[in-house]
Amino acid sequence: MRPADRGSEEQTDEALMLAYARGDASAFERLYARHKGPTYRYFLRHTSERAIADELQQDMWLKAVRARERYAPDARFTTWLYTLARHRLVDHWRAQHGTRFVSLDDDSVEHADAMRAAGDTGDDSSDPLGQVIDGQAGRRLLQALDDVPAAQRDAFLLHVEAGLSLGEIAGLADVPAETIKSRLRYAYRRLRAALEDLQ
Amino acid sequence: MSDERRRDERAGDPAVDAAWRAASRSEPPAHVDDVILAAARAEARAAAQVRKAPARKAWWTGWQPLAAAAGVFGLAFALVQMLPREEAARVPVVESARAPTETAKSGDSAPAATSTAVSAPAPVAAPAPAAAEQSVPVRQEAARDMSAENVVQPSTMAGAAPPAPAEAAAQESPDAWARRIAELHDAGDVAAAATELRAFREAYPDADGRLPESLRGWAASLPAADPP
Repeated sequence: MRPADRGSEEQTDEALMLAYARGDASAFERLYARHKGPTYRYFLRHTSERAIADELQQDMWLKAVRARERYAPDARFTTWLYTLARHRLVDHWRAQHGTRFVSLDDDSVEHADAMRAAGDTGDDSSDPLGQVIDGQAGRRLLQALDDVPAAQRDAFLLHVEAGLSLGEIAGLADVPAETIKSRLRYAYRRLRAALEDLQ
Repeated sequence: MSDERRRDERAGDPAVDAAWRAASRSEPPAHVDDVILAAARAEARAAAQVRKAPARKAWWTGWQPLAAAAGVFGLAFALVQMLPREEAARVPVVESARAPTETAKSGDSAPAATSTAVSAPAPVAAPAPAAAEQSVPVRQEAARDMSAENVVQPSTMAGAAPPAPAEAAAQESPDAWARRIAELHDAGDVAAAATELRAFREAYPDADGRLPESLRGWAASLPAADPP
């Protein structure tokens, strides 16, 4: 890689977003290339349907495009981006469930079942996610994640996909950091249990 | 931040994280990428155009306040200049009415005629259209414009009548009048001479006969009175 290229690669997300707000379209292209996979997988693991994930991904990024002038780098770009993602996800669930609002911060197993019923096809063999996952461990992980309550799943996805810290996830969910830590611990425990019999 | 990361790592499980990263590789389809990137480029172009537009306007919008102030100042100056001129215009009219007569005259008769024209307006009983026509045109204009305070006897100006030939004749002998007409004519002021001759004729029916011999031919060419 040439030094100039390396320099542009090393630009922070915040600098790229500010450059885009000033009209630099290439800055947005680099930003999108960095984050399109994690945001897409965030939606996909929450909804378990590619079509819905496509729609949410598109909506959320277009919202980011339109909100570029309001973006202020007082927090990490990733935190701002996943705030938009969470809001879009909640809007989706609210529309799916009508007046019954489903919160991402509900830790109950019943809630996880409701979420799965809304988004899952119910047939593991026809799940497109299963076709793209390489290996049995991956498939088991995904199945196990479906059984994890939405709040724990959200904390796990924000942790492993978005790379957010405990404090950032807590700020985003507006709950104490200890709550997030506990949610992560429970989520990891379930996922580890799903992998145990393979070892 | 690094402490936070270390706490996060303790909260996670390296085996689970590794398995997750190996399994979770889904990417958005190309058509979603295309829509998002196209929208982003369009917004960037629009933003660039919006940013350019004010820059073009900036060079003159910066001068707008100065131009407005200059316009207001100019208008105010023009108004102030116009107001006193209306007052001042009345006095010079009197002066201008006097001036042609003075320039046309020469010799001892000039001051007498001037004082007659300005300070001794015609009596109210005298006015007649013919009499008005016989006076100097400039004097008519001056009489029209003059306000009450600019004349010596405002009540006499109400009739708007110029000094009557009879009164002029009373103050000037026929021979002196005839000499003055000759002087005007000789000085080249034929129009003034003609005007005076008409007034002279009104006052004296045998006016042409009182003129010097050299002017009689010219006087004969003039009609008896101005056409209406």
